[in-house]
Amino acid sequence: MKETTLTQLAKWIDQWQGPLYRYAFMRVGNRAEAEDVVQEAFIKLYTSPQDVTNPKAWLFRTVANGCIDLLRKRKKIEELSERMPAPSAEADSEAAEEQRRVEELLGRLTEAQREVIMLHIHAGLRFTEIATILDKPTTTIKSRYKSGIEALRKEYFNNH
Amino acid sequence: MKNNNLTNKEIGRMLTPSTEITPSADLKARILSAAQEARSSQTAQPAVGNGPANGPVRSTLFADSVATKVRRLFPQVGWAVAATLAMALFITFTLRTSTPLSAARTQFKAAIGQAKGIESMVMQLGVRTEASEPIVYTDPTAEFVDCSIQVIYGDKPIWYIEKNNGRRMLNSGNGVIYEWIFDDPEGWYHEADNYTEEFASFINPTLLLKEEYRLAGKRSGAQYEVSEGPEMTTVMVTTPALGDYSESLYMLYSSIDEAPTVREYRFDSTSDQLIGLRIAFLLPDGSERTIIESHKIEYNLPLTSEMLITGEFRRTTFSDSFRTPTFNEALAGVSSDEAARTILTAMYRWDKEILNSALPYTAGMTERIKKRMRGLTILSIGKPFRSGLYAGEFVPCRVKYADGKEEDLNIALRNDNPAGIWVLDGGI
Repeated sequence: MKETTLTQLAKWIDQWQGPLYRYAFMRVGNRAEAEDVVQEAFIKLYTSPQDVTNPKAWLFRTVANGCIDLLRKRKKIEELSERMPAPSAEADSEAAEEQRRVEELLGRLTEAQREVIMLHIHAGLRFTEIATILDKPTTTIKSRYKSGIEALRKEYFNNH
Repeated sequence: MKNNNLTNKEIGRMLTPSTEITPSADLKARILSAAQEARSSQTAQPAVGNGPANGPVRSTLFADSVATKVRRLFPQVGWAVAATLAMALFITFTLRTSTPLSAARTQFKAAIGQAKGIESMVMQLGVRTEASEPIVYTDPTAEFVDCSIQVIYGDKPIWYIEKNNGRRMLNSGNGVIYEWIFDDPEGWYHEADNYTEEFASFINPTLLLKEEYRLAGKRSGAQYEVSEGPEMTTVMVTTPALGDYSESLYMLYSSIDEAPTVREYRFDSTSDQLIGLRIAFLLPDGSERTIIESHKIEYNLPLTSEMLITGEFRRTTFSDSFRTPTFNEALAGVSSDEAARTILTAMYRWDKEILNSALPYTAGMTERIKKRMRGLTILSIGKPFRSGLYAGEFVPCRVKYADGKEEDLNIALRNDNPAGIWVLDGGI
């Protein structure tokens, strides 16, 4: 088994930390938590006992999982504390405000549509790459993207 | 109605944060330091389900949570669980290596790996189609038309597809796909983002192999057959139909994606390079009807962009093929057959008010359509139906053209646009 070297890891961080962080931040809306999820993914990759043949897809999948996990935990906490303010609130951050604006727009879509749109627009991934990450045919990914965009267009049309 | 004109780009901009979203400057240093620490503290105990491996997002989540539970709740039996799982995986792997499926996967993987050094490709192929119809259009009842595909791969691939005496497509690498028909001075163009992937598997057969590799074992009803010879290895994939045909079989054999198919890939036994492919529809009586067959595939020929961007292309004038549908009350809130009647009636005297709304997806071909359809009269309109994966409806009708010729058409109409109107999408 080929072990990942620190130099290799540094190269991957340089290549992908930007899009990974952008994607994670747009999902969780909090800088510290987004960075944690990204950091955790890189460490998992570095210490993985398995050969990772496609590190880019692996990282995005791990970060996507990390975000889903985090949001689920957050939801549980919110349920337990009966509408306790979500830890995503970063009132002073312009980025957090933008995240909330986009989240609100995407909130009208299905989870499947939202996931594809965020991976395409925020992480800058191609449809074929998203298909690999989500393990779905490219046609499904494109159709989710298309229907999501159409739903947003319709929504915008109805509201303006 | 400004909002009707909201383009995909504008929606993309709405979804893009207006501020830069970047990680902290020290994130890289923190990750590297934590990674070093993690590896040095890593014990000899093998981890189970560490990270996503090959599974999709949801199954990975599940795998992660199972693994975590195993480690947290039963630390004392962790080794035993890991050993049992390892044995199960070993047995599964051993069994799989002896199946046609795993042999097919191995061959696809080898060919994908081999394709990395390919810089250009020329493919000559025969396709059952009509020369002037779109490149992807296939018709099992049609004769073979000779086609050629020439590609220069790279960051911005340049490719040219030609049907003998028929349709041509060119991607000159500038993000736009041009399309025209032989001997016609007017063509049309499309934004590449919405178009290239439709033909990706023809232009880059490696993508086809990657898709086969990815789906191998995941498609229900798919069957694999591998035969290895001294010079050539052949992989045959048989897959059932895709889509809903409970209302009509009309679309069943209209595309390779939807039809039940047999796909044959031929590889050079020494180099693993793809040297031939054949795609056949599987007919209800169990027989095959070949739709596409390559005659020759050549790699790394000295192609240049000048060779692909022909004089014929330079002599053609191009216009935008796509317009965003605009609201028209005659085409909204009615059934598809009523909309078909409205559109065909409008074609009689070429009523621009209706047709400008009804023909947004064929804007670049308006003159061609006008030449053919103006003056037609409707003889009958039948009951609309849905078929396969198509998002719209088909309206069967019989028309009489201005020259007296009669024809049966299945007009494709769809209303899944923001304006909510029925627009013509094909079938004429």
